[in-house]
Amino acid sequence: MTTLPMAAVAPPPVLPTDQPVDEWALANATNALNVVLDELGKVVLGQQQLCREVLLGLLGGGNVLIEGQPGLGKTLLVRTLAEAVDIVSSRIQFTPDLMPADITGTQVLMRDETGKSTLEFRPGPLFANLVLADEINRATPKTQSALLEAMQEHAITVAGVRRVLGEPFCVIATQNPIETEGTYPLPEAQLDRFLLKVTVGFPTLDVLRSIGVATTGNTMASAKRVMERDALIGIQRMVRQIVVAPHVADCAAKITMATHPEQPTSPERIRKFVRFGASPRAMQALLLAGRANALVAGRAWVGVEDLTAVAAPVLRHRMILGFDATLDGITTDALVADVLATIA
Amino acid sequence: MTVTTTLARWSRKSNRRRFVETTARILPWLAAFAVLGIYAYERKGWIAAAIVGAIGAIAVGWHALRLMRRVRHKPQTIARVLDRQHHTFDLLQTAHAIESRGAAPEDPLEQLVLVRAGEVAPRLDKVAVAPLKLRSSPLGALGAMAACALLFLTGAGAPPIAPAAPTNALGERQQKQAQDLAHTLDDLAKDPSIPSDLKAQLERAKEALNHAATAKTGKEALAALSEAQRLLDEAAPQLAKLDDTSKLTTQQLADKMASAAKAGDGSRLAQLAKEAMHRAAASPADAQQLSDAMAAAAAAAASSPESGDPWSGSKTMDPSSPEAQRLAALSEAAKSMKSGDMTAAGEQLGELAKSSGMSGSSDPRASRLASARDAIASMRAAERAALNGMSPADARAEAARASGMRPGGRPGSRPGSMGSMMGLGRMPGMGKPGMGMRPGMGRPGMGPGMRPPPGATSGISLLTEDGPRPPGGAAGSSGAHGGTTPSGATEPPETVMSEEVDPGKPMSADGIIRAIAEHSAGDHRSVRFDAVRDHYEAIAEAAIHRDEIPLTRRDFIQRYFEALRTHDEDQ
Repeated sequence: MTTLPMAAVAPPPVLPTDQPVDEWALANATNALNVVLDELGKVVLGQQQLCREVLLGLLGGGNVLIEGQPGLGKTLLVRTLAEAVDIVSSRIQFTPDLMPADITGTQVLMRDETGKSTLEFRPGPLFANLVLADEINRATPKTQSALLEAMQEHAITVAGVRRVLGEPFCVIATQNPIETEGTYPLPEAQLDRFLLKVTVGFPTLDVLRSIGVATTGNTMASAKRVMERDALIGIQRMVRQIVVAPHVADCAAKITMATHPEQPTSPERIRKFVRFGASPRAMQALLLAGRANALVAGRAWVGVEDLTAVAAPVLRHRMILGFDATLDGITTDALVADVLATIA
Repeated sequence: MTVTTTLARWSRKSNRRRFVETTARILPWLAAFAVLGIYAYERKGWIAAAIVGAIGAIAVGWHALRLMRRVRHKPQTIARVLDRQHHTFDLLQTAHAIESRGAAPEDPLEQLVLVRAGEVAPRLDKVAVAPLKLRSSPLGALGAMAACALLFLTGAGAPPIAPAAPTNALGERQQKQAQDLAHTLDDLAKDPSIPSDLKAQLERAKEALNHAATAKTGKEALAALSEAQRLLDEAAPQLAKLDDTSKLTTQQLADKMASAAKAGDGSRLAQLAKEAMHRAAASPADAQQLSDAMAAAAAAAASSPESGDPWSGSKTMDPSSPEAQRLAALSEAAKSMKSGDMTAAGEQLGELAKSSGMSGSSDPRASRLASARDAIASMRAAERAALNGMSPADARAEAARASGMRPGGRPGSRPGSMGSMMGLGRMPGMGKPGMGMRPGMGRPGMGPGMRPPPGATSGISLLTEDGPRPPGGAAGSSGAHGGTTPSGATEPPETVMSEEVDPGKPMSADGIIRAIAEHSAGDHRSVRFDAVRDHYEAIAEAAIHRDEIPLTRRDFIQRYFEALRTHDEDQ
């Protein structure tokens, strides 16, 4: 069993994970998360929505797929997030010749003092808390699939031995939507493993000016460590304790059901343009991300508004569109809006 | 106090207030329908009032039901409404769901939810905000005011207005004009020299005019006027044939010339003189015979009693009278003709026609018919303008324009209508040959680039760099292939549409565009496509060689015409 590379200093957790969550703990968690968001905002300029959604993914214990043009700060965001919450991060640049062993780790032959040879496991970059899988669609499906077990079960199997990854574990993958030549689009099964798919928009003129000024000087803005790793784990557990009323769960189920074209109550455009709707995992993701959203907002309960706030990043990569949608320029975001309009 | 209890109390209070609110909102509507009911009773009686009352009761009832349906009784529903109204992020619903389980929650976050809901719910109750806004219906108040205004402005107490008697579509003046025209046609039909079929046609035109005078709708009147116009347009060439001077015998021609000279009908005399000069120029023998006949006819006319005074007892004409002088001039022209001096004879006859004055038409019947056609055209234009919603002034202007611009207008009534008298030399008022509005000349005589008057019937002319090519003939020709017949009647499309297309002749881009524009601006007629395909292909061929047309599009256009040609050949 390998030991996880831990932070040099392990301060005491802010929120004891074995204690019941009370009002004070809830407020403390909300404040801590808002401080993290502020720190992210200092470094990643003009991408508040992106920062919030990535944080929601981390709080929900899921993985996040970020899609956007190059140079919009995706890698910077992941590095800054790792710095702010004091977790170990690693970065894997996916290329077509990347092999599964390159990311999971491999066994190497070692000789001890007695001259006896033993196989020793050298962990790969997946053994980190926050893994940035840069340009994930450039790797072959074989290597992409090596991520599946890690993303879903937080464990990997090498040479028949299953190795559990440290907590928290989160894969943040990026992909470029424009340059598709020589890429291997992620299969639907793997896309479904991502809790959220976040799109990065181009910044406004003012933000662009600020980025230019802030990043071309001698001093670069950097995030301070504002949250400990154990505190993050405690908040992740708190997320799952946020109250979900039956009507909210019902709403999540209805939203998921409405993405299916065979449902008579689905919106017309869903029935026309969608080939396959979202899986039950989408409903889980809706509720999980909704809980995280409620916690960031300082609430102990989930409202329908929380579901609608996270519906687009949860569903946009889980709906498989038909060819007609491509021809007509229909996006999944527009279809999600249709679904939400129907449910509301 | 639990959240559920608070919600239930909120529900009772809100429902009471909602009832008051519903009453307040439907009161203006009730008032409005009451006023309308009174109005309907005063105007139409009990049945109308009952209908209005029933409609009002249904509308107000439906409105009240819709308002009252918003009343919430179930705590869960009330919680949902309150959460939506106050943006509490489903706090009340969640709290109610927790309380509905019965047992006290053990989860500290659930307890926290209940605490928060317990704090919020009483505040909502105290504030009593939407949907508990007690307000009247602005629309209902507006409707009530409008109904009252209607009641007072229209005077509901006044006796019911009797339905207006249907009036004729044409105005009084136009009705009289139509009847006068009908009388004119009736008089024309009584002329014994007119054949029976022409009489029948004039009769039908008269009936159409009478129908137009009594028509109840504008469209009906316009249709009747159009029918009359069509019948008269068809009658005009037939009437013109009756006045064919070439069929007259020498003696008849001489007698008619003498009669015209005596009557002072210059136009008629000019027409007859032209025929006489043509016959005299044909052979000397004919000239001798005609001159003798003319001299004899002039002498006979001079010896007959003066017209208009058959009881004067005078056997001969006063030599100083204008009639006698014109007859003497005719005798002089006959002498010149007999001596072989055709030039002098022509000049003398021209002078005689000039001194006799231009009565406007060589044939009085044709003149009357032309006047009738002008008048009908004017009436049609006025009626059409009125149907299109023009003001009376615009309608009059339109009528005047239609009267003045009618294609193939009144024969001989326009300057230059004497252009046909080329054999007599230039005469005052004759105008340049081919320049007048001679019936049937249409565009050929109008010169390059000129467009026919609006409404004129025209064929397709292909504009070249030399100017517009007249359809069916050279510029200045009689216009036999033009849009109108010599009498101005519109020919059927099959005979009017004459395509002269020379695909090989190069055309400028401007010429093509003008050709298309001119064609588009004219009357739209149904023509078989194979008849005009070569024409269009020629235009397209010329157009695609312009730089603005991309190469791919050129090929596309060419393949289009090839496909059409192949399709036609297959058929």
